[in-house]
Amino acid sequence: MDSITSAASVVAAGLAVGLGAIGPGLGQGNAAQGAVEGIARQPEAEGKIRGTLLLSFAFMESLTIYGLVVALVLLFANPFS
Amino acid sequence: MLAFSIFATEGGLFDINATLPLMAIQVVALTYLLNSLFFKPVGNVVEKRERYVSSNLKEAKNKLVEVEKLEADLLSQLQSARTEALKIVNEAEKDSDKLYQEAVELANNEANASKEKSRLEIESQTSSARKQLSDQADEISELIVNKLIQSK
Amino acid sequence: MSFNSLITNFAELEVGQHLYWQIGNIRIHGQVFLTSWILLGALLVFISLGTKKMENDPKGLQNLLEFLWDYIRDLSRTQIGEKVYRDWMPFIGTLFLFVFVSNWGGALIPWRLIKLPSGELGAPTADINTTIALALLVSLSYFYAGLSNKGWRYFEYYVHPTPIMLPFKILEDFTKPLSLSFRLFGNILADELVVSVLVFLVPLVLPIPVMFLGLFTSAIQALIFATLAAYYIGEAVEEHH
Repeated sequence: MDSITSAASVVAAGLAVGLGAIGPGLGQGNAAQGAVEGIARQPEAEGKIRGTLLLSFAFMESLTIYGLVVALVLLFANPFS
Repeated sequence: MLAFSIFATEGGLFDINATLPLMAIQVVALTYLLNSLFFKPVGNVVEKRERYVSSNLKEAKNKLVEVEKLEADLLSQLQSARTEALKIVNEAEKDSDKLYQEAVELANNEANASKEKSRLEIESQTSSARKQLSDQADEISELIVNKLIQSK
Repeated sequence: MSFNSLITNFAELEVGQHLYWQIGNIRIHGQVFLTSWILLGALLVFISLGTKKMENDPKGLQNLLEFLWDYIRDLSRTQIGEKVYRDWMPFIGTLFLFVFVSNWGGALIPWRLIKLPSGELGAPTADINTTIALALLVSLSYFYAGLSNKGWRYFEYYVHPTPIMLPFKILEDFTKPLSLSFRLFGNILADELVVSVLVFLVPLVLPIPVMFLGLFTSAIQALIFATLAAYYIGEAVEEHH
């Protein structure tokens, strides 16, 4: 693999994870805000809210993981090498 | 082309080969194994217990209803007994009142009668005594008159 | 020195290296099967110990297994619905147990101490083959559930609110296994990589909180995989009016 492809791959891997973390980060913030407000309004529903929150966190998390998978492809299974 | 070159590489993160179908077969076999080793026996025990608990609960509820019915029955019986007793007591009171009244009346009557009788007796005795007195007085006056006449 | 080997040697990480077993003319990843056999053997021993002497008053291991059974039943009943959850409970439970045992086994047992000629032992779910196999099984089972419960009326689901939905619903059939498999694979691989990079950089203390986070994510991923599988099956057997 030539050096320009390596450099581009490393930069692209960084961007894939970094940019991919922005959206889910915002989304998780929103979800946590909603959950905290919900618990403050209805403390007796805390268990149910926490379960739903964790589940939706995992869904958002998986978006970042897709970015990570792309980064891993670029680093360890680079199709251009 | 690109996609194929990712997956076809020998050794690599995305090396897909016969591991996939074999793993799928293994998971299906595991499903059947766990079904007979875990899900069926544990399910049987848990559901048997759930049935037992629910039937016991139902029985207890039925018994509770019965007990409540009995209690209400008893209460109504008690109520009726109480009213009966009250009635009897009232009647007895009335009876005794009547008897007392009668006795009092009888005694009064008797007393009045004896009073009347004694009054009549007194009266007759008085009149006879008066008559006797007047007779004696007449005799004495006659005697006095006779004496006076004799002495003259 | 090539780019790949440069990175892998630098970080002392063995990513994407496998222990190949040759059976006839097919090649399989030996390390995946080795770890899965060890972990599933442990699971089966655990379960057969717990169900050996079932009593009406549960205690010890039986209590734990009954709790697990109840948990799986609640999960499948809420997602699939009262009518057919019984048929699919073993499958959902097996998915949950397999993924959970694989994730935790991969994170808790120090596999690095066992040296292999090539590649290294780790969570079976950190291999793309395993997760794709699981995801394809889920796809097959929700098709089977829909067809066996509703017959050809299952395909009404594709045009359910309006026929405009048809292409999206067909696309969904492809994205469902893709996202299922890549979510699980990515999460578990990321956990392993983060821990091994941290161990390489700071071998003491610092990786421990990350390891706990990894255990938490692993458990949640098992729950999510089972929940989603049950949800897809429930969607397929649901009656539209």
